[in-house]
Amino acid sequence: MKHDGVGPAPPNSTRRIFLKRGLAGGLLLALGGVGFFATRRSKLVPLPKDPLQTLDAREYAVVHAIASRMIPSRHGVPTIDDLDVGKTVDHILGRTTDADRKDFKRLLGLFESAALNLRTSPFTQLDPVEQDAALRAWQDSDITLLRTGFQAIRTIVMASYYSRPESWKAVGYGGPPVSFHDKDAPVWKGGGAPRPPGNGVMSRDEEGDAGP
Amino acid sequence: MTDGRIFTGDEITSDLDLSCDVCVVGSGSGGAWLAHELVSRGLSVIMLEEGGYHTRREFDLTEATANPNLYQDLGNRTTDDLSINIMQGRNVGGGTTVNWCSCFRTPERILDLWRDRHGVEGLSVAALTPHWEAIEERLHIKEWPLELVNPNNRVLWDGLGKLGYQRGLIKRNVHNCANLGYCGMGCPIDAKQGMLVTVIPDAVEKGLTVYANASVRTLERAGRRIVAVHADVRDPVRDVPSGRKITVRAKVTAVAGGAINTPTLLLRSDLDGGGRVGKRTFFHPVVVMMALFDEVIAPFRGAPQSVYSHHFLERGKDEMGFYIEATPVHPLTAATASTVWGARHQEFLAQLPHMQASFAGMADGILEGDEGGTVSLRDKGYSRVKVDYPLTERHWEAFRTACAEMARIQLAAGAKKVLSLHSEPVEIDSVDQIGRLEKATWEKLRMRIVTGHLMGGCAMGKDPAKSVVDSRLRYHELDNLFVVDGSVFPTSLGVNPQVTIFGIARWGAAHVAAAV
Repeated sequence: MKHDGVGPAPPNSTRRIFLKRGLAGGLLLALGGVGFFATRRSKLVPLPKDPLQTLDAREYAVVHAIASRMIPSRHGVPTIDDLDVGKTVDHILGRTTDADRKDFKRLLGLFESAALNLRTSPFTQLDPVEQDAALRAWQDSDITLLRTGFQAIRTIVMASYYSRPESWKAVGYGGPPVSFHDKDAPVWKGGGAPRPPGNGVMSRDEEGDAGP
Repeated sequence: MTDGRIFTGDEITSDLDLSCDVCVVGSGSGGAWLAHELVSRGLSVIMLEEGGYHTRREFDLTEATANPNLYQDLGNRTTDDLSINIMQGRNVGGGTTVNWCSCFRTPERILDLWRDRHGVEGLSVAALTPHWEAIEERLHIKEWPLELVNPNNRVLWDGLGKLGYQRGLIKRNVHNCANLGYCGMGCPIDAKQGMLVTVIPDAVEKGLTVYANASVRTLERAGRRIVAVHADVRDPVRDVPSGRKITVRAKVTAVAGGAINTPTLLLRSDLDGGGRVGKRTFFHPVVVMMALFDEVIAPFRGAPQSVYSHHFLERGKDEMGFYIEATPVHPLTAATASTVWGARHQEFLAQLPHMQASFAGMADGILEGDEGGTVSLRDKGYSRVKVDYPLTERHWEAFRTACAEMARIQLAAGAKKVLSLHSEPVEIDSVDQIGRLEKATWEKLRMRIVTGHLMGGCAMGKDPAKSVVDSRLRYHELDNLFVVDGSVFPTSLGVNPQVTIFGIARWGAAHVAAAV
């Protein structure tokens, strides 16, 4: 069976990720044996204009669906699409290691899978209330590995949205005091050049105690 | 005096094969002070740093820029099971570029413990004091004045005072500080006296050569000596190997990569210290309590840490001690470090300006039988390191006690509501509700646990059967390999570690120099 992304991961790779992570007990292995073949298709969403580096269309759809529930649309607040959350998740994954990327892609496959999660539909096909319950099921699971998976997904989604300055207003943050940042400040690399002010020189050469 | 130079990865266009007296691996609190002391003695020193050379030109006061540029794993380093978030620096200057400037000399009881239980010789308050004095002078380390304490820390000060708990003002390594509150993103005005703007440039002026974007992969051994240090040059923009290599053939090699990267480098080099490298790693695991106030706290503004309490550092006979400090909260941190999601998360974050954040760090490894975590390799390539950190019954008892005490302090200071960072946060409106914490689920990945203090993994001591390096910081089984960073701590400290690392490095430089 060919594995082309999210959806039914072949049982071997599923076993591998669980074994690699040292999951105790056979519960998930058993689940993996039951139903990885029988799944419905993921509900896709339009892709961003620029090509994705890491995620395929189905993985992107899963990220998008999860982000929609973690950061729901709200009056006066930018949506996840306004802030390109899916694209940012893809970009962050592009800067991690091959192993991390593979793990995360598998994780999205497992989360989407109806069979593994004893659901009737893949996550992307659920209605919002069911999706929230599905997220909660992983967050509150007695299986540590699923809580780990939830943590991985939550962190990257939240980081992707709240790293954008457009998100600041809704959290009552007026932004940093940018006047203190000098983007043209000299960069000193030694080699006989005199150290510029800042770079420890300003304070070293000052007389007396200027206080904090 | 020969002027040194800082090279970045883009300047290295061919493979380099270099020789010197001492090769220092890592440019943080240990490596920087060591290198400075060595060049001051007239030795030729090459420093290799995996991270980039980022200066105030790039410090735009945003988490989005700082996290990937200045932190390990893009600011997302964690234990293997993602149960503990690890904030650790990765840049020229290491943790000192991004830490919150808190300075504590090593507690005497810790040095006594290292001597009595771990066989560390010669490392005493008397031996370290001259070094601390020199360090404090160069880094302008002074107590932060009460009138400049920001509201986030003031809550702690007031609450501790009302309850009669021990409290103190923190000494900070800053000069002409504008009290901005962005220390964790690199100081935009070079007021923070981190290694980046003090000891490293001082050393470069005395001849130190620094290669940034140089990731040391292995130490090559022949008999009882390290004969070469092998590094991959990284492209500073894309942060991937450029294909260029640096080989340094030094008389002496000193590893100062910190308590996660030093053990992994040794392990990649098949130096496992009889199975002890990476063991007894200590994090000061931290739990956080959030408080909501009617007035504006703005936990993102002002010196991040200026008040501490050691009231609970020494508790009952078999109880783990903890220290209490405040933690700054910026939007990205607030969003990721909180535990809820959905509308509830949005409503929580909307109160950011009115939030106060207190935390307690567990002084682990001090009680007998407390073995800490383990750092190991997945493979010898570029895979994420593997960190396992079991939490014991003593940790959980201390977490529960610390959260209850922090709630008491926050309420005493006038908080209208206190929240834990459990998956299902415990909400407390008054002192009589603090008992609700007992009903929470105290388990990994059901509550937020973080760390910024990385210690241990290459413990020092007299007995090669119990430690990795000797009391002169020399790797037991080799003649010319030293470890000079927080990984040599046999236990955690119970205080912020940078000054202890500075002190050990400045003190240990004499031993390293003597081996040349």
